[in-house]
Amino acid sequence: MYCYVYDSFLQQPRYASHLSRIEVRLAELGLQGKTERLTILKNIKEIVESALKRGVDTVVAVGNDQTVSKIVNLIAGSKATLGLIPLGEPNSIAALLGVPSGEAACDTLSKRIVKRLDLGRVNSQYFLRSIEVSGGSAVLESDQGYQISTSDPGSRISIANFGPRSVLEPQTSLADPADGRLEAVIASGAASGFSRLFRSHQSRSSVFPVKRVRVTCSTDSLPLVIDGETVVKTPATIEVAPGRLKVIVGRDRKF
Amino acid sequence: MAIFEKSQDRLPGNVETIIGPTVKVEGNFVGEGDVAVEGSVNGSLKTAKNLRVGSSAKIKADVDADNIFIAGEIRGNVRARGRLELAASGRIYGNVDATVLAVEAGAVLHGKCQMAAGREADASVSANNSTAGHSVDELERVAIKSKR
Repeated sequence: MYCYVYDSFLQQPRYASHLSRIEVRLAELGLQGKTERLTILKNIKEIVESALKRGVDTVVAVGNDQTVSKIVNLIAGSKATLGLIPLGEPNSIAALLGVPSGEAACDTLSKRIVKRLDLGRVNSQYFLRSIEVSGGSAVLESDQGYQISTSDPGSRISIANFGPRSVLEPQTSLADPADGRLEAVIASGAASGFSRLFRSHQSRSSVFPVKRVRVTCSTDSLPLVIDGETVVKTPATIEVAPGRLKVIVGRDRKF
Repeated sequence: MAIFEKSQDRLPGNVETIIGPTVKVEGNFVGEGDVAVEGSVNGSLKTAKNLRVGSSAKIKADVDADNIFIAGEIRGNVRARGRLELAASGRIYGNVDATVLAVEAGAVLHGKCQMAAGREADASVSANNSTAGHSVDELERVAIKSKR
């Protein structure tokens, strides 16, 4: 049984034709299900929790990265599988999962290649991609008996589960969401003078595979940005939740 | 020295952990994959695979890895289960234990050096010693035979 959750921005007229084509294609493929449209009055938490209670086995996020992130948090650890029909921008999660935009995503749903992915968890909140911390005063304490600090006040720290390891280095290799661990990346801030000319960002970055890490700051409380959206403050404990999400992926997935 | 150039190319290939020049690690670090260090480490550093200590690295720790290439400074004991290569800029202030050792001219090594072949020879000598009655010539012959 499918439940399609349409994000609220899809009410804009420019998406009407896309949605009608998607609905036709879903009917052709026999993937009909209940459609829930988010509005100011309809809470996504209530919609998804109600769908899970009804025994829905596939919750399909119709929208962008924010739509996916919200639903991931609600179905993590449940029996339900996440599906995606990307519409609007940004849609980097769908690209990483190999799901094409719009109507073509219906065929990916129909082929139903299901993979289990790790999620990151900070306090009680899950995330699929990464957490970013600005400011070099943060200290990472690993549960394996060591701590990491940096002398560069302009550095950025990210704890990545899936996708680019750091916003400063989107071109570098991707974090694997099925390896049972997170990657803590410390990327130095903007270089100046000769160091900018002669040293690449990559050479100045640090990478640590971690399963559980506590982020603290001795001087101040730093903001942690989860998947480019939600913000929590330090101190915070970040850990991997292995295989917590079932998701339908495409053949062109990046892992 | 081609041997060191090859090592520099080989070790960072698929590095799992990178400790960059601005980063300091304190405590007991245990890795499972290849590790590259350009920053500081205080405590202990152990990995199941290879370790590359870059020229800007400063390590105050006992180090244990499979193959180790050192171009920076280590203050602590170094154990390489395989090959240990010390580049011209490399400095070790501590004891060294390796199966294969390569030292480039200009490197600094302050400490005792023990190698796997030497350990086997020592073991043979002490085993033969315990049977008593061997002459010095006989013990030397045993040691030479073990080295072969």
